[in-house]
Amino acid sequence: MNQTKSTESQEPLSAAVAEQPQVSGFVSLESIAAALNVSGLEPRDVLARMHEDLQRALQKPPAERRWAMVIDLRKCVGCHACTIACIAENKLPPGVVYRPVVEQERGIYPNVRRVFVPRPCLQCDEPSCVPVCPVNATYKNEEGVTVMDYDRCIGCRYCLNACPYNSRTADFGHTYVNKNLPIMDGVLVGRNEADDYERAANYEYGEARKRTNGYDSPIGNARKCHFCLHRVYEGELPACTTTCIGRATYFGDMNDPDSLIVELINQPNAIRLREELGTKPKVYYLV
Amino acid sequence: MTEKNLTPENEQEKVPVEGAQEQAASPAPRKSFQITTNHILWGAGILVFLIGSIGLFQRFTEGLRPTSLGSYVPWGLWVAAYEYLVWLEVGSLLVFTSLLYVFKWPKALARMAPTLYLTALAILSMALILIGLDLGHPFRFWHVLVWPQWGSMLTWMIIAHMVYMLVLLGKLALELLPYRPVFRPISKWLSIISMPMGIALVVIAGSVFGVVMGRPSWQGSGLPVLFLVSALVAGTGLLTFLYIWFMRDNSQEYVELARRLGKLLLAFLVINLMVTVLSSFVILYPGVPAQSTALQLTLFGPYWWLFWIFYLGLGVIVPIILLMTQTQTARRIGLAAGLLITTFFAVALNIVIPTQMAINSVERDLVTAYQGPGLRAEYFPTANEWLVTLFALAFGFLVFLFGFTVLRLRPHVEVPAEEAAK
Repeated sequence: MNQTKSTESQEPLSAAVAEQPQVSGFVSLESIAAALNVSGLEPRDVLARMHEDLQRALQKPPAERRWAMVIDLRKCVGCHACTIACIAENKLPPGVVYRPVVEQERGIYPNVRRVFVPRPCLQCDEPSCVPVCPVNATYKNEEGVTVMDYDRCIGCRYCLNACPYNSRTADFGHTYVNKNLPIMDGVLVGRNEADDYERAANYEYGEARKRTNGYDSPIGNARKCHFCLHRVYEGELPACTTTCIGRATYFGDMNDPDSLIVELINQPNAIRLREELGTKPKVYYLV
Repeated sequence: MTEKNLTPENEQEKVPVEGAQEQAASPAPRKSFQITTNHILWGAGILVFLIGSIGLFQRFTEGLRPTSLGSYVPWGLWVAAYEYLVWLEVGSLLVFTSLLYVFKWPKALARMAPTLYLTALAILSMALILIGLDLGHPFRFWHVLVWPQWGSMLTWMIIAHMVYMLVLLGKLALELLPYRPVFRPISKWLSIISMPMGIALVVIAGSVFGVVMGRPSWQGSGLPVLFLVSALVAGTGLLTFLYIWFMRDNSQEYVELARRLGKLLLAFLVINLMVTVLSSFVILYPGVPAQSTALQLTLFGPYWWLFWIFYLGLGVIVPIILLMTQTQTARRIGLAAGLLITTFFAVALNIVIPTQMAINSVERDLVTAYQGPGLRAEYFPTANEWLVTLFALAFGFLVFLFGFTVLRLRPHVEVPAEEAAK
């Protein structure tokens, strides 16, 4: 909470920096620190605050917490670290993506600006993908996260068409390793080693699932972001949150009034995508 | 009992319906082997089946990877084919039963019941193969029965189709078994309940698309109605084609009934054309991109020819001209019906595919945000998809041939006893 106040409740940063003494036209780090009203390592990383919030939330019964995410579009620099972290964490195969970052170029030269919008599953409170599933393979769990039962899913891909945010992808069993890759024994990027790594188990939903053959789940299934619940239950933040270099992604329990996530959601500039659909997403954007 | 109204193969085979056992028992002069139409049809069916099996083998060894399906266009040729086949299967039976039981058409029409039921079963087998192979996990189809989600239209569609299949099998069983008086009320009731069930199946199939929030072009009450109209058009086309092909003779009664069917087909064609024009106008006029992009793709996109040439040209305008000419012959009516049922597949393709491809315009930034196989908004069926489709079509064709030649599910040569008794 201290850090949030220190960075956001002060006078505009540009004005404060301008008042500081400058050397050779460059802005010194000291002046930035002074402008931020911080000294040394005083301000806590928001990750530390979110970790504390997370530990508090995990003390509660699952049904009493509601996980949510806030993405500050002003802070997103479009580095795609969250996309890569998600792929690494969940060992996503080619063609499956849980958190693409949409890039938009706005304006006409010279008044041009690039905008980056990370697009994970929005974890709707009224998800349109859930009721269409003919076998109840996708459902909203007691913590409000829409999850998949890979062993029940028949792979009809109805949920993909039902999602108005196009947040789901289908796993068709593609692999990064192919016969064109050189073998290079003993080298990690060689065909054999890379193939072994690619087929090793991931731990989505806390289950070890190897991709040893071409048809066992999750191959053939619909796949989606699940807020890295397997990490959350171990007291870790989702991979996209911890790797965000701009600290643009926040995660926490909406039911905890003292949490950072609730502070941010209550900001007047917090919006949700396509509110008119009534899906009530639990991913908010700060604009 | 005459042979004149038997099928083309019979003209060569001349298989007598009565006294067959006596003939078989008596020594007949040994004939040299002759290639008949039957042989050619079986050979062609098996050949296409084997060619299609290559695709099936690929489907089971490589999954859906050899297809053009993806995450932005998750439904393609097989789903479109399923919808089209449902229209044919349900529509033909619905029109047939309605004409006989509701509109009291001449009982001569009832003579083609066995062949029509057999055709419907063959089409049903094609449809189920294709929709089953479209699943990421085809062998989990039974999950729908064990863990059904009653709020899903897909659950209802699968259940409705299975129940409909049972009714159809019941009707076929009655045709195959030696006639008993008790069959009459059973057959009648199966026919009567097949009508609302058929309507329900088609409307539910349309609702599968109509309730989808993610695709605004599908969403709404339009598609269930359009599906019903499409089933009536395609079904009438199939019924007319089958009647003209399998019942052909030189009698005045035959020509009269063919003309009546032709008029009915013409009426449905015009209604379908009006629905197409009006619905297109209503969508294009406000020009809301989320709704109109798909239609614009249909009309002016990469597959414009599918709509303008196949559907509108060969499937609507040419059949209308053929059906409106003064010198109407059964052959012309049959040609019109044949053209219609062949090209009507374009309607299903245009409903299923452009709407999904519209994401390329509506959410282009998302499509280009991350690259990978299946993350494309374009779609054209791959060789594997065509091969699997061929396999399904060949399978259905062989089912039909088996029923027609081995089980002898052929048009009755006389009006069935139960029909005549009414």
